Amino acid sequence: MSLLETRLSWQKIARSGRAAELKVAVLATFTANPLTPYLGVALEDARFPAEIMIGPYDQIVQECISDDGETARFGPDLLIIWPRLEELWGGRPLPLTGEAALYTKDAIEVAEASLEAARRWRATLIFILPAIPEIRAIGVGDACSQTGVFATATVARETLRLRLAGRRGVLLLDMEEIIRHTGSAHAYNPRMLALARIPFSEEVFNLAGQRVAQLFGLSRQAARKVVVVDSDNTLWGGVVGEDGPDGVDLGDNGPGEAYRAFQSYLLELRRAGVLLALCSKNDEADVWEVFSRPEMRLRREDLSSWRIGWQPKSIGLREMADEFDLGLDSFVFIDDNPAEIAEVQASLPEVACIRMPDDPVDWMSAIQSTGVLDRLPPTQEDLNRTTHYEQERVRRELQTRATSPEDYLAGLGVKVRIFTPTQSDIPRLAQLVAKTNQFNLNCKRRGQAELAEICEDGNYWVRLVHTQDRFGDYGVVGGMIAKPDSDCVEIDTFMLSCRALGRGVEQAMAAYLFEEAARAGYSNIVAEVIEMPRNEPARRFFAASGCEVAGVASPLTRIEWPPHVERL
Amino acid sequence: MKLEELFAIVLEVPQVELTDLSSQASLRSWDSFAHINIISTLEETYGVRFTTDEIRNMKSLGDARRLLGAKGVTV
Repeated sequence: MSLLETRLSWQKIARSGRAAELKVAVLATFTANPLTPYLGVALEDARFPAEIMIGPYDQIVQECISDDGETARFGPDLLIIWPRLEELWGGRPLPLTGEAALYTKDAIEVAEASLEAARRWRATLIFILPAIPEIRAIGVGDACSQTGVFATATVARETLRLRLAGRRGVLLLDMEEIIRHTGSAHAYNPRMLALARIPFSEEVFNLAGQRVAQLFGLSRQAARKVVVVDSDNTLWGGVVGEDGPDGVDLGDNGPGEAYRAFQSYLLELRRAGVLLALCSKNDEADVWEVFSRPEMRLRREDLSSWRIGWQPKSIGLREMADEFDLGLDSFVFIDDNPAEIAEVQASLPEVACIRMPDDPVDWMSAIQSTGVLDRLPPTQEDLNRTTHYEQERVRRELQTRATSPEDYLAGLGVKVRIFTPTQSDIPRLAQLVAKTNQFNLNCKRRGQAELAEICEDGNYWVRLVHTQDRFGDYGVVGGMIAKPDSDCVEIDTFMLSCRALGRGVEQAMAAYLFEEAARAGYSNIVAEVIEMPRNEPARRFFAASGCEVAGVASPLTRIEWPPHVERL
Repeated sequence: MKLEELFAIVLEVPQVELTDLSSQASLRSWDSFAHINIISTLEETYGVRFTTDEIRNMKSLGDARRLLGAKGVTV
């Protein structure tokens, strides 16, 4: 879509009167109005139909501290703060020999005020880190100075990042990246700056809108978890069936080097918690023979699954989805062959497909420009995931050998610890609320800020569930929120990650609630199951305990703590 | 695309109501943000670039036609 088409598309959306689900306020040190159509369309495409307000010009702090200002009255769900150092440094001489702290002070004041406002308004905060100003009074000499524009701006930027990154409900977008991507020659608009205090080109506003929508999406939706790669002309150059295992290109001068760099990148994804799998049309023995070559960086044990044979790749992917118990919307498929891409795309539209370029040296831009593997920094749970699936493979082998389900369960050595979350557990609670689909009573998606308030509110019982068994530690995999009423306890939230299902953990959780209720003098627990596209496992569990009809609050029949589960 | 047609979509007014005399003064929807939108749209559509003064002094559809003409774009 061209810039003009995007702007016109927003005009149409804004006029249509469709209901907005997200209120977005933008506060900037400059005229940010050109952002609206691009941000609006990008959010619309990401399924967050939004109403956007641009706050008064250059009044970030004033708007943030006021509870009857325009922004406060608007009541944003998403607050975007977009300062520029050019304005924050306004009225002062450019950094030359001065103290960096002097040039950081105003930026920090903006950060503090916006954090405080986002907290009060229960809004998600997207803070746009300002770019390094282009102006250099001493030109090329600026780089030689410890206190010049570049050095001072870098200190200010990193001070902001330290203050803001990793805080709950706060996301950072880096203007330096946006300008770099656009190219600084095309990023600025000096005419509009002079006429209307609009510093950036339409191209930059467009990109900023897309990045904001993408970042916001990452905070609300699960990231893709599995990368499935082809082998010939994707992991190595040439076709193993024709060139032979020793003939395929993995050499260090030429295309082979690019394939090996791509393998290193796959290993980095694995470190970040992404599962790697292989889907290849070949004879299996040939493929493993290439894997045993010393030049290969990717090893067989790095793969969590593989399908090597002659069936359509869409079938292989579907089987892997069952094997991992993940939706196909968690999958990314990388192949050099346009026919394979087309086949997968046609049968499994949820899978994100990336074509390995004909010249493999272009792999990085081909992959990174799609953004489908972008994710927020990994949590501890993400990092444990890859080992989890290996444990799962061993566990399944044991299951096929076990004599009865009872023996199997008893042999698992499941241990469950149920505890009240502290401040530091809230991000994990929020992650479970956002991402648990299958075993979820009602898929009520609350934001982190709201969950933090519920945790502090004495009228709610909030608990997290930590599980381990003899194969490994799953970490915090479940959560519950319940609210005691006048005569019964109502279950508000009940969720368990699918990787911990089927071991009695869900029974233990329900049993725990009955015990807590009894201690508080209640004998009834009520739950209302909501039918969601993927929560059949939860519906089945609650139906078996008396909540047969979705959408109707019904009392739960008493559930006892399963004997094979040890309490911690 | 005809100049009237571009102005009509950007300003959200019926094309038949637009003439060379249509101006910031006569059209309520031609406010300062619409003006910026018009400039970007003309530059993107016709591949031209206006100076800061030209942007400031473009007050009517006729002005836009004359400025484009001076840059070799007949619309």
